[in-house]
Amino acid sequence: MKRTLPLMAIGLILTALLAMPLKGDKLPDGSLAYQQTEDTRVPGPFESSGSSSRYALVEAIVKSGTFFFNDVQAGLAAPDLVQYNGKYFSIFTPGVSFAVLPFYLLGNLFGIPQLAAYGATTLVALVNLLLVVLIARRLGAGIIPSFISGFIFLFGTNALTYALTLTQHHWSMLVILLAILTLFKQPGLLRNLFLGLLYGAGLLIDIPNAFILLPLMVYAAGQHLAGIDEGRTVKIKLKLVLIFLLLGFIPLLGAFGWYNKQVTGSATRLAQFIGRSDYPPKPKTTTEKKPPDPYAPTLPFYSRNQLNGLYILLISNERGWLYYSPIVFIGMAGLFLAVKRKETEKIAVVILTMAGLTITMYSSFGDPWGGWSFGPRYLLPATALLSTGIGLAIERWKRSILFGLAFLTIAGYSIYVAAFGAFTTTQVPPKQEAEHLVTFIPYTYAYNQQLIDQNKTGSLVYNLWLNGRVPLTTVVMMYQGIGIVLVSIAYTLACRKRIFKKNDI
Amino acid sequence: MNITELTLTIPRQPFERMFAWISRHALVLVLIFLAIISVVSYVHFYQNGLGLAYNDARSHLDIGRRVVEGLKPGLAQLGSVWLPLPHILMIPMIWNDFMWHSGLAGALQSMTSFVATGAVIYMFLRMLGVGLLGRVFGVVVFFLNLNVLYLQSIAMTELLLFFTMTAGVYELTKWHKTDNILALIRAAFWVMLSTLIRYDGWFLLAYCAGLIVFHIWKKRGYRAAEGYFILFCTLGSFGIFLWLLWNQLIFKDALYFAFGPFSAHAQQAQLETAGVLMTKKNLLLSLKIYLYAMVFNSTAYVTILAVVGAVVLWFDKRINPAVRLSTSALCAPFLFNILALYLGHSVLFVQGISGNTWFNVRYGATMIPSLAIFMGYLIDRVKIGRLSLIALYAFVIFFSVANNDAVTIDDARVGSSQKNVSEVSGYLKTHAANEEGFILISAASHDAIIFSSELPMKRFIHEGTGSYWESATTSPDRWARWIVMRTHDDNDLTYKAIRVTNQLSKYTMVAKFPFADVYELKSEYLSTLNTEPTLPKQK
Repeated sequence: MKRTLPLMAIGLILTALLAMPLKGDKLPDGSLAYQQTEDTRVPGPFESSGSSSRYALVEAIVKSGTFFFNDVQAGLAAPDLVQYNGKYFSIFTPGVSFAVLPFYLLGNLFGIPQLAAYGATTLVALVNLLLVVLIARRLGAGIIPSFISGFIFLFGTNALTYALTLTQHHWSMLVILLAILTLFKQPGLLRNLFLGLLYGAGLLIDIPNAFILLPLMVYAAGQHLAGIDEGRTVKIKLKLVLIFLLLGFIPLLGAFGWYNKQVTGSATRLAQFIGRSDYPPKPKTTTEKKPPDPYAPTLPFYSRNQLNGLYILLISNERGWLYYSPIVFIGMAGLFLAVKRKETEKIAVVILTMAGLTITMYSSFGDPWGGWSFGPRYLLPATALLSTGIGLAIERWKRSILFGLAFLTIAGYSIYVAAFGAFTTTQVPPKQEAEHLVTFIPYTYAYNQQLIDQNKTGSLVYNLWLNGRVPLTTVVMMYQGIGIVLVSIAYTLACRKRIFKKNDI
Repeated sequence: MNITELTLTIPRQPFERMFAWISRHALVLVLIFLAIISVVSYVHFYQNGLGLAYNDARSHLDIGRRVVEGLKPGLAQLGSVWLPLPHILMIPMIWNDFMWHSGLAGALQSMTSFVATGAVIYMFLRMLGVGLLGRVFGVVVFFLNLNVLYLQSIAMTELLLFFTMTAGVYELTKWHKTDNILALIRAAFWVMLSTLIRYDGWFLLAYCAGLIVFHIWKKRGYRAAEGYFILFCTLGSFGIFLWLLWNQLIFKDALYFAFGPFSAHAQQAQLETAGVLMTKKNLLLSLKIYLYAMVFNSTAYVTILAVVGAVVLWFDKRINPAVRLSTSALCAPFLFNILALYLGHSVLFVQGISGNTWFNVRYGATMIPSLAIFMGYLIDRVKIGRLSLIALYAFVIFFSVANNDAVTIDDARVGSSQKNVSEVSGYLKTHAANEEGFILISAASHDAIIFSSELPMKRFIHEGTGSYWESATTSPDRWARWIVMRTHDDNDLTYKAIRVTNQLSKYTMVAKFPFADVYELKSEYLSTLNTEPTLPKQK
């Protein structure tokens, strides 16, 4: 009872905070918008084809029993669309669409299929918050610092904005965080099966997950190998339960292959390799084809892009962590502390390696901006991973007033910025595109601030009940204030030794 | 029997013996392995035509060839501006047409230097107390660099410079560690050689001399410092002394290389007039451009980790402070290049930052041996997470190689370091190969054409042929059956000389190409044309 009430209160507050910016609007007749028609206005749930392409696939499966789009769905999915053999389908892997299918069907019963489908991502975001808390606890942080880790992960980074979309990010983070948590268990049949399953799920959700999860899988496999020094001989033991890592992976790999076969005709030909198409299709031009440059890069990760990519993703005001969610760097410092502890050394290295690989991959990518997006969306898996270290940093330095001031300032700023994206849009252009627009759009969160000043929001709650009654700027400020106050209270409580002990769960 | 486990019992001794053998012979294994990589790499770039893409590579080969073959062969053909050692090293081989035209006469020294540099990196790390993994990793970072593999396959001066500079710093660091005077003498020797390859070596000489003076002054006072300085500089600067003497004797001006008409100074002055020497007097831009060149040559991942490795090294209290300070000489190429850009003595174009082309971007590669050493050091010191760093490196390099990410190759293919003179050289090959008569051409402007035409050097009358040049530019109709020049361009010495003779009317322009025009003597003047080298032997 002593703990249940505070936990319930926290749960309610988190739910309310998440529900507040959920995307939606009302139609002139009072019904909910977006449920039966696909309106792609900004801000709105279909503002980005990253979401609408996946939603179109869900619709196609439910309404037509096929993976191929009709004309309306093709228009909704463009330009994240592929045309092949006269048919249209999504360029994305189908994992997210398959996962939200039950939610769409459930929502359909109540006339809110879009809200339910997108709500699945929001629910997953809440689960991810919990997973970050659990991982932070396992790494050695106390209950309250771990809670701060989870809270800041969701409400102090662009994870909040993408919790309201139908993109791959939170689903990828779910798989990655579950895999990390599973790694704390000893190698065994069920654990290996589950890890294999998660790896397969990760691949189905987004191809880069296969790379991001690789260090974890290699480490997990390595745990099955042991060498025992017996003086003149060395005994090498291999636990055969290792095979279940592969066995767990095969079913979902098979599902992925089956899906590819349905849409592209080959189990190994991915939609992404065919390339994007427009809808309506552009007329073919008869310009002379230049012979291909044999030295042009053919694979997606080009090391020459890395310097610029690192700048864009880590430092720049376009998409940089430093500008959008600097709190992540404190998490990084916390994880380096975990590396120094024998009990958590190896897992912390795995986490840092996965985060490092994410940064390395996407900084080498041709489009580190992630197109029109809010903050460094490609770094979201690394954001989740590094957030697990925030609690450890707090545990280590909470006695320092300087650290406290710095932490609260940085956390406060991160929460302040995160709210802008959540209440408005993910569609912030990269600088190089913004400068060429006929009507200039700022390429930072200044654009989101502009929309808020104009009272334009995608928040269903605001559009249904508060529009015309309370200025949006007031609502957003209150939202930011609640987040900052919650973190400040939590931090203050964390600094009081006697309340909660470590590893109390 | 446990069916959930597979157990393998391995005798310890064979593996221990094998590992001990590998550790003892690691350096030899590195040498053998690098030699194989070197040959494979050369063959690859020779076959795909990139072996001779650099304009400068063709010029280097031609300079070496002119010493042994031409209308005025001799050591004087070593010329000025470009330092002579690479061309001297070519002499034993370049008399052979295949060695000349395949570029192997020049590439061989690059290949040998590549193997030697790898060995020096290994030895350097061993001297710093780095374990086998770190040493091997340092060598891997060096050789798994596409830019290094390319530069080692061509007749350019980079790898020879890398080897001599790195060897010099290695011996200098060894002297700081052991106080062995022989190490200091060897350091002076290698640095002296580097001063005869590129002017980067001159800066290294000054930097090393500064380190020596500082070290000895602190340890033993002024007089001892003076003595060591003289010892080091006597040998170390001997190459510079010889070069100044050479310029004085041949060109009557000791500083001809620095201020003469073909000097970098003259070239840069033209670029400044054209408004493209933006780094001059702009420290930030010089730093930015060189940093980009360095990063593009080695990848951002390697550069960043190497910087971390350098910091770890310089703050590692386990190593003697003097030794730590001496390793700062590994950063001499970095400082030199920025200084050279700032003073306007060097030009470097990075596509996207200084225009839309590449030029001399290979200067960024001079830091690669140093970055490799710092990375090897870091891998050794970071016990936890070492495998992760190596794995991430493998990821970066895999895609770098798979995507052909090599800026030096881009500069050679499409940048300003290449000249597609195949039209002009093809014309000469077709029309002049089986005909008699000399070709009047400026080697300073068109060495690439001379090389690519595959005609013997003695068919060409150029600035270095002494009285042949004087005669041909005064009376071209008596000496030159063909004239290759950029018409109306006073930078082309042939045109500059010919236009005052009014003899061009005796020629027909038989071909016009973007790089140069080809003129042929009209048939009515052929009877008075000299087709043999009849002038007396020139000194």
